Amino acid sequence: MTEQGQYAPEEVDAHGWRPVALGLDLPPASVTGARIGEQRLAIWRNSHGDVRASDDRCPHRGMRLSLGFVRDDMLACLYHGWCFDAEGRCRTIPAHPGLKPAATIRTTTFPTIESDGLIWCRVDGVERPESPPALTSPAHRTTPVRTIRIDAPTRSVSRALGISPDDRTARVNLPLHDIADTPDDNAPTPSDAAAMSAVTVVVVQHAVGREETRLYVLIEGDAPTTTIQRASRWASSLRDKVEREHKDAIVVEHV
Amino acid sequence: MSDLVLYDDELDEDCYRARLALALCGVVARLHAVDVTMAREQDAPSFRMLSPSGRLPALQGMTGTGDLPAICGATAVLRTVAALAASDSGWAPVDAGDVACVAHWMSFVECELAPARRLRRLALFGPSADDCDTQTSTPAHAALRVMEDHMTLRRISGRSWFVGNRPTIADIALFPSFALCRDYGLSHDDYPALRRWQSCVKRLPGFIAMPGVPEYG
Repeated sequence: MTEQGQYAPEEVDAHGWRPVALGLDLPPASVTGARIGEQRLAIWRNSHGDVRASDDRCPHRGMRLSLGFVRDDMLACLYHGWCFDAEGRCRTIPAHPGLKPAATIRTTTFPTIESDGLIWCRVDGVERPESPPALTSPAHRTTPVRTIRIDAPTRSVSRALGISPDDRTARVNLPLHDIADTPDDNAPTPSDAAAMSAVTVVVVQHAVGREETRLYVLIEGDAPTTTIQRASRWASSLRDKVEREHKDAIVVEHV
Repeated sequence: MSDLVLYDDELDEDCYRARLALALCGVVARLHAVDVTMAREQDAPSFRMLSPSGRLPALQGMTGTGDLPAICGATAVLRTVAALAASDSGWAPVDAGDVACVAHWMSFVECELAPARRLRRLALFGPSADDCDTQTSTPAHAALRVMEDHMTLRRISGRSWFVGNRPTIADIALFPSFALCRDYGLSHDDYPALRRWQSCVKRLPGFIAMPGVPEYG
């Protein structure tokens, strides 16, 4: 607790549901790493589509389980192939094929929920948690765009998105008029033009570290491929702008 | 009857490019290990006859139609292996647009990804004369980011590969740079589009791994 003063509040706050991956970035039978506060996580999906979260550490040799792989619907460690089930219990030790591992050999697991195209996890130990925040009205669905890492503090990203650092979700109206998704000789009718003039991009931000923010970018409602690509390029530009401004600000501080 | 020899260093990233290309394109070559550690065989006169600058990998031998003069460097080996592969295999496209895109990415591997190769060598084998002490992961991270942005747009349009509709030598050339980035401390977690592409490469018939590149995942 003595170091707490060094950090802005949003960077140590590991309470509540936190976004850890876009659902589409975690295909069946795959694993990736994530972080909530100081807790490192291995987020994995079995072949049936169910998502699990485990402490990112093999109890055997301390290897990061997120570097491993999913086999037989269990999370397997890259080092020696120890396999952990959905509840975190070790079920297989390849070096001792006949052995039934003791129930005490296990890794800590955490609750996950997949909704609105995002995978959420929480590490605060709350027993009966409420649902993750809804990103959009129940009438709408969301179209996932991409995950993007920005090498800057969350407060810099919030400023660029025009939201308070406590608001973890931003809604951005992205104009579409400057993309050539209709040929010139096939100009849109006025009603089409109105429908195509802008799209609502939902940006969920997550502080991975003091100097690192991860954004999950989605579109409200359905969107054609060209619009999803446009939103992806917009996110790249946002990243480049925020990083440039953050770098300039550091230079100014040191002058 | 062809008889090719690949002069190889198992831990070298560019040699892995060459071995991977041979394996995926179905071209058979004998491996000749070159000891680049204590023996410094890359500087031996006999090897310099094949590779005047001492660069690995090098390829030499007989093809089905005649002698293959000694060539060196990953790009040269990849292009040669693609030419030796079955003509309908498509590893080196013939459509002008695809040829251009493959050339673009091959050049990207040589230029933008050079800092990543230097950084890995530094992390694994320590500094050599041409390394300055200010190496950071920033240029390597920036290059992987360009790849991630590209493959994100490709994924959105339903494509799996860097160029066209099937894997090309551009994928083979780019693959080790991402697959080995953990060697110098960059995580795969920040590159979901490249992770997806990586698992497609690993599922290709004939895929081979190397130390630092797990076969699964």
